[in-house]
Amino acid sequence: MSIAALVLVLLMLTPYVIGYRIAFSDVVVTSGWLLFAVVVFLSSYNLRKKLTYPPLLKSSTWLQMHIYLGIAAMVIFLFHTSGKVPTGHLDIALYALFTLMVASGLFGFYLTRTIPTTLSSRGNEVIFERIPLFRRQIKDRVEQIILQSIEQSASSILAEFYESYLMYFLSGPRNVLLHLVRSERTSYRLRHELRESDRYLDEQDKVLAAELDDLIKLKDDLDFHYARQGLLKLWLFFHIPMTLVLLIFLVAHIVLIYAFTYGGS
Amino acid sequence: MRIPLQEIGHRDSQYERPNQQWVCGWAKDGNPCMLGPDGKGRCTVAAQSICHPVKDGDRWVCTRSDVLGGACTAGPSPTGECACPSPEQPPCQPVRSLRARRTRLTIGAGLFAVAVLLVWLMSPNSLTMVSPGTLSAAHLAIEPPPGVPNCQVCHQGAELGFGSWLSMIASQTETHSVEVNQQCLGCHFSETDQAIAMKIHSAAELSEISPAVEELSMLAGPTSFLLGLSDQVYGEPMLDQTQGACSTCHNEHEGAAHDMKVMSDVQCQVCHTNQFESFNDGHPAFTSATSISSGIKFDHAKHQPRFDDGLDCQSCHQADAEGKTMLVSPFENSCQGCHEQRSKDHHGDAIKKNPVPFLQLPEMEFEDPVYWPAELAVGENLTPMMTLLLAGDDEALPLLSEIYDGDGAAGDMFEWFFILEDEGEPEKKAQLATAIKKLVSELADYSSSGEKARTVRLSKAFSLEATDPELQTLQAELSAANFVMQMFKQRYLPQLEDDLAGEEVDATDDEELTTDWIASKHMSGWRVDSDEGAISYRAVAHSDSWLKTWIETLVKSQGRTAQMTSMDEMRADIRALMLDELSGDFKSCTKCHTVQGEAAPWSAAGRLYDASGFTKFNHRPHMAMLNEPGNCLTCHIPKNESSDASIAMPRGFLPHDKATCSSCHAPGKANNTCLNCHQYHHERP
Repeated sequence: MSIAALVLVLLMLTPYVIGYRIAFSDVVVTSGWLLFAVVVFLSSYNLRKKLTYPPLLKSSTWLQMHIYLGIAAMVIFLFHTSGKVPTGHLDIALYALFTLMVASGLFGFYLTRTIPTTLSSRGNEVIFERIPLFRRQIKDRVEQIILQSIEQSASSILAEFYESYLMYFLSGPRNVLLHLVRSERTSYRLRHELRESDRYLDEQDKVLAAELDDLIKLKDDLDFHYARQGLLKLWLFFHIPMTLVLLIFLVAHIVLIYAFTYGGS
Repeated sequence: MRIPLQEIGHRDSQYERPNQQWVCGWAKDGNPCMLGPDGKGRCTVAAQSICHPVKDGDRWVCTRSDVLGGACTAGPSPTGECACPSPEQPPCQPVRSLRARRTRLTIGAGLFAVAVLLVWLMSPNSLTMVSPGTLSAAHLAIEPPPGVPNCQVCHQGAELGFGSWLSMIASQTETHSVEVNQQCLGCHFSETDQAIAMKIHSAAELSEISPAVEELSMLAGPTSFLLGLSDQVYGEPMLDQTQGACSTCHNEHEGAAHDMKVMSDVQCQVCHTNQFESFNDGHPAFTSATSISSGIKFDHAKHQPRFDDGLDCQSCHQADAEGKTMLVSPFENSCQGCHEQRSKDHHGDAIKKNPVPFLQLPEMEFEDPVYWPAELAVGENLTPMMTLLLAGDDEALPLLSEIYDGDGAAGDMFEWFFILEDEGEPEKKAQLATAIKKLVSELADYSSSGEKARTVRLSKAFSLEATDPELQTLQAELSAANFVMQMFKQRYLPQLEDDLAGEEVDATDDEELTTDWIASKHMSGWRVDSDEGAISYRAVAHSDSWLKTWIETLVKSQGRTAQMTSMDEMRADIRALMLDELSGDFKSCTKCHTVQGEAAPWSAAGRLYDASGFTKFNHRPHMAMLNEPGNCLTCHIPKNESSDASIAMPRGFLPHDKATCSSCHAPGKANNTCLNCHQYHHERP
């Protein structure tokens, strides 16, 4: 399917790549309409995701087409603009919008190609919307461990550790920016603190501390998923609204082009 | 160690509904209710806790689902009322889902975009806002009428305004590009050329450009895979395209410094790709030699001795202001030095040799008495100028037609007399004599009536309007020669006016009335031959106005074929014959000047690149590199063999050598693009 899509794109681009018929057809108009059609098709991907019926190919197939046609749109755009930045106000706005869309698309392509791999390498595969639930479950279990520690050994070491470090760490997503750059420095430091207090614990608390260490790691992985999945969702908060703005400006551009194609009075 | 976070199983796992507009307000704390808010964003936690008991036989049964806590132990009341405990979780304030928030942001961004556009398009500066960019410098200089915005000069949309722009799309027609083209063609092409401006290379037929170009343009079938693929998808380019837009190649609104004429080689290779890749790779060798398109016959090889004596190219050739055309210096600067005119007796130079016979009374014998100087009229034929002037006489025209009939006398008077025998010879001779006498009388008449008569005669003879500038100039020349014609009349036909008035005159009385030579400034160049009964003219200087005017008028009259009567056709035939005759008589002119077509090319202006043609060349940058005497020969290599003097334009140069150009015009060196040497439009804007 991917190969077929690539061949289709190449077929469409071939005449432009080799400059065929440039001398005797209005390539700007042709490439403009082609570009508009491609942008509309690219925009329809979001609609397809909302539609559960009819089954218009798999979403992964749509994503492949979205990527290939997105690359095609960039090439057609270069032909349409002859690689030059326009000088008119509206055209500059349109040019900037399309460039932003291309940058956004390339950024999204990078995210969709890199984030899933990193997610599968750390922790559980979780649904983004369930992360608060799992975070709460971890927090509940940590609080149970701390209470158990107080009851069985009358030691306050783990309780103090909880109060000093874990309470804040478990109460919400933490270290989002560090997770975006794949840094585990904070969690290492936290676990190191826990291990440093290990020598003061009795055997029972050491068992509990070991479980705490696993839970800290689990929470850190959860934060990692939250940060990275959140970035994927946050990117769409830019890409999709910009798509609508681009379409509106494109329509205005087409209206003006045709309105001003008429000769003078 | 990996600790599993979620249980697998529908009873142990939440069912996520990311497409819903609202999510539970406790979800962010990890404690969402099982069902979440309703579609309107209202919390359903209270409704979730209660059940709707059903009656099973005579008992009511709790129906609360397992995910909501399962059937309560107390069960429904005996009356069927729910007795489930209140939910532990308090009601929440539902929040919008991520997708709902993204949708709202998208709609907001769209509305903002529409608002921005409306402000732009409806503002007083809307035309500035929608302008795609600054015009090129040439178009920027077009001044619109007062009160009319610049855009409106070319775009009707600017006049109609924002309210009409949408509706204009619906009314678009296939011809809209043609309408825009008319705006361009109206200024850039003559009315005649507009019809072919949009055709391939702006030529009516490709063969007009040159047979070689036509061959190059033929699409024999693409040789590359990509071209073949495109052929299959889009078909071949249309070689008879007439509906294209100027903007296909010429992009406007790209700034004042933008050169709208620039095209890429790719655009040329669309049709020419089968033949060659670039100037350095496969471009055909040049077949044409140095182009000498002036009307001057000049054999460079024949003048080789002069070059050996120190004459160089720039003695005669200088670049024009733009450096494109190598102009030929005027006669006075370039030729006169050798072909001088200093002799006072009009016999020392080739320019002033070869007198042109103007009038000569033909030898004719009459049966009835006719006033005719039988002793002095010895001409065997009519002179070409005389024949042309007689052709302006309706009565003489049929006689001339017989005299110059190619199947009959073919211009030989005695042959005509022979043919006429027994077929009205006396009458026709008398008619011809009368016509000649009438002509002489008109030419000698210095009054205004004589001037009018000559104008009518010339107008008929040359099939030109009486107001035609060349014809009026010729009439003025004839008037200037009036004195000579009077002398001719006085010498040979002194009683002409009485004869034409119907009085009976006797030629034997002419002896007493004959006058000897008369001196006058108007006589310059004229020669009266008493023995021959003729009057002839010889150029007194280069660019002699008498001969020049005759040639210009005669050349202009060629090709006047519209709505011709039978008499016009006879005159046209006679003019064609006389042009051939005069070419021999005018050899003091035609030795150097080519007389052909409808214009007399006196000047040797060189090739004018802004007129028409497919190839262009600018001498200036090349001369800057070769600015030493003799270096012109780098490109212009003279032929050594003698050229044929009989052809119209002897060319003394070998074809240009492509290698000379490609040694500099190569990738990485000087420009080697198609447009560096070629212009797309054969008929140039």
